[in-house]
Amino acid sequence: MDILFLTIFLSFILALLFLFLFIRNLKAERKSSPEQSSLIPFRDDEPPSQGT
Amino acid sequence: MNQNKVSIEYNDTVVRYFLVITVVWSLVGMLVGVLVAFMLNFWQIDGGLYLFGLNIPMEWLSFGRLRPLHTNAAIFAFVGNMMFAGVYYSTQRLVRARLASDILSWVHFWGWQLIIVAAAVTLPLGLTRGKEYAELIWPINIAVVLMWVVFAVNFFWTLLIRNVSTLYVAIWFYIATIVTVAMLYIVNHLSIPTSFLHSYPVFAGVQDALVQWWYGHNAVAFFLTTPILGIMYYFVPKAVNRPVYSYRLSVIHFWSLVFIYIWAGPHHLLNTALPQWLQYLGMLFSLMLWAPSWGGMLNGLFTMRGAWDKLRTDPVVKFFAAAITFYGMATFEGPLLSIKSVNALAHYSDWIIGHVHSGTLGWNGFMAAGMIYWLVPRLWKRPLHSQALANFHFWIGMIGILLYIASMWFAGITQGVMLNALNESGTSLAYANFLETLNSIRFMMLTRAVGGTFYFIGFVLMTYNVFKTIVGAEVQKTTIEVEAKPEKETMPWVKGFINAPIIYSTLGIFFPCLWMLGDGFVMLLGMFGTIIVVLLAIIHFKATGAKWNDWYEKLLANSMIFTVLVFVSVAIGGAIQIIPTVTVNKAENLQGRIQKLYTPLELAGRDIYISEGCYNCHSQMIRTMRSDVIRYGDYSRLGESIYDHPFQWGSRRTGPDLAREGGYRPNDWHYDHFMDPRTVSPGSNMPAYPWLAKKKIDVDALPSKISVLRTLNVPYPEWTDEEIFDSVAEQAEGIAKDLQEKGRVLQPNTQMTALIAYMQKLGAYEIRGDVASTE
Repeated sequence: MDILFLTIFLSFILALLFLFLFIRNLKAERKSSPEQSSLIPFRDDEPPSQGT
Repeated sequence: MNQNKVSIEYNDTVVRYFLVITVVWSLVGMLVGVLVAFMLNFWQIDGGLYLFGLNIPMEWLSFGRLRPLHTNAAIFAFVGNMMFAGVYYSTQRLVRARLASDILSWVHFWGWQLIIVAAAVTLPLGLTRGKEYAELIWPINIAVVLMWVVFAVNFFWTLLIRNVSTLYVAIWFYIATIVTVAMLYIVNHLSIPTSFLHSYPVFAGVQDALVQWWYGHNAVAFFLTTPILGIMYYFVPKAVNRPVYSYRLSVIHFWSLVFIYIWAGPHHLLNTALPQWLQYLGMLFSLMLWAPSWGGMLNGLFTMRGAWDKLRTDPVVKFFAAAITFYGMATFEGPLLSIKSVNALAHYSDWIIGHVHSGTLGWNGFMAAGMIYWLVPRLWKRPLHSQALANFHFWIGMIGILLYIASMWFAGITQGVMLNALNESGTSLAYANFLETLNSIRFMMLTRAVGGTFYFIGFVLMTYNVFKTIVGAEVQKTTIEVEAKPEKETMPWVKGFINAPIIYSTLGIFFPCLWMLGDGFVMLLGMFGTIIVVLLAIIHFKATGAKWNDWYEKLLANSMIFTVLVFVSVAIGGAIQIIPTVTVNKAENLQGRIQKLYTPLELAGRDIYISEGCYNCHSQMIRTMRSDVIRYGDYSRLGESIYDHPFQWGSRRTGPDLAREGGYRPNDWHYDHFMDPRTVSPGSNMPAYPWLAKKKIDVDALPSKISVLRTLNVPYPEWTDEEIFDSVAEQAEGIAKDLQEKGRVLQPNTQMTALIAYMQKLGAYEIRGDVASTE
């Protein structure tokens, strides 16, 4: 039976952790998106190449 | 000019230098590769010239000395310079800043080339540490570390002065490369010098084996893979003019790859004396590695979506598409070969050589070619001299690779099956003569050499094409205007480490470790903990996934915190594997079979064995497999190489295993064999070593060597120099006298005497403590 108490105890702690992080994240603002980041290589202003 | 804008001129001059030298070293590395491949087929050009009536021994021209030159040139000279060119070009553009220091850039360029030249001189001279891809002697090791630090400072300094806030995925891979290679290189090259040109590694036997393959495997991972993945994430989107298929997938690809890769090293030591838990850990993580590798491959290939028509016309896209496909093939084959039962067939065979070249020729070589063909017109502002020639390069290279890897599959599987085959009763070998198995794959070995030649010709054509493109070109500077340094969102260090994704990841590693390694309550805790953490993480991510992205964006704006997290990720695997092995598997803790110490003459012979690169073809590790035991004798125990600095377990058996060679054959057989292997082993492809009968043993070096080994806890007595010299003379005279009685004349002070003494010691052990508990 000890393992049950331990499991419940650990789960409780993890649930609290989850709740804390969840609320904290809800308050945070969203700044950017991965889709934006994927365009970084195309941001340069180099003159058009004459190559391939 | 807008007041908020600043003008940036990229340092493309150093990129051009790195690019041109890449082309030059590619030819050198591949030419030596082709040469050593032909040596395996024609002993007449191995260790001298013995054809057309010539009889000219040349010690620097032997497979054992040139194979390390090939691997080092291909890895550090060709791929190394290609990596530096790609990293410097793309980083400047991705962070919109000039390389931080021109001086460091040039020190990096010239220092690296000096290292390569030093390697090209020392390796053929037989100056080596005797560890694969870590052969260079200690003064060069220090130079490599210094140059890597110069590279790191230049790179991170550039990140600090960048004019963008976030870091693109390519940069993450470059960061992982820089920190991990530094860690791997330093640990695996820890040595104590015995002279200016010689040192002994601090690790021995099983410890050295584990550290070596932690390094060796991850040299593939972090020198040949992660920087090239970074290059893929920059150059492939540029070549097809499309953003990467999935940036989210690249986040998963990056973190899972750098975390998992580092654990897989022990798959190079399956079925050996390495402790079982390490073997299974290596196999498990190798299998897991398949997922992130293919995630990266698919991300690369899908980036070409909608641009497949360019495959018909653009050689750059051809090279990139083929390279990524080969990456996928090689990273499928790797986990397959890491399964213990498959490895029992493939290890020590040509299949591994084929696997490696599927990665190096297919992935590295073709990525390099694609990058070079893309960069040259842009760096010299001229169209490529000949598209047709570049297309021809692609096809001849492709045919070359296919010939190479297909012949190595056939050769490896054929020889592996023959070597492991037993008769119906299972008590004797179906092919008892090793040379019979070697000679059955001669045609495949020749096909490999032809395939390699085709591939080499492709690079010769590329060199001509590049030369014709750039000769006479007027180099123009690339200058851009960028927004002045934007405000970067700084993140406190604590927030960088204490955050939901990090906590879940940490617990997600901690609990499975308890589950795997624990017992009873600890195991249950690990199991429940794993389940709960995974569920919590999924629920939490689903509810707030977008917010985690904000944290990650902030992390990317703080490159130092990011770098520390990368280091922690890659350090965990090595620490869990190496620290217990180094602290527990020591000679003083072992019972059962313990290696007998080499006499001074045998030690001198061992250093000659290493210097000649014998480990390139001979293993000293009888695996725990019936066929190995029947062929070579009782399987090797962990203690039987516990004093070997460096270990000599080997990775390829072009010749037979030598772990129990001692006393198996008389001295005169060894003499005849070294003078001309074919007199006693008809059909052998081993080179002759006549110079060993003339060159003198460096007896004066022995006191220093023995003193260093004593420092490394090899229990040598406190011999005086005279005692060492007397011991050498006495044992050598005994061997010379024995040979004389058999009609051979050999001066006792020659290297061949020492090598014969070493051969006759291999496999000697004594019993310590309770044998029953260890056998």
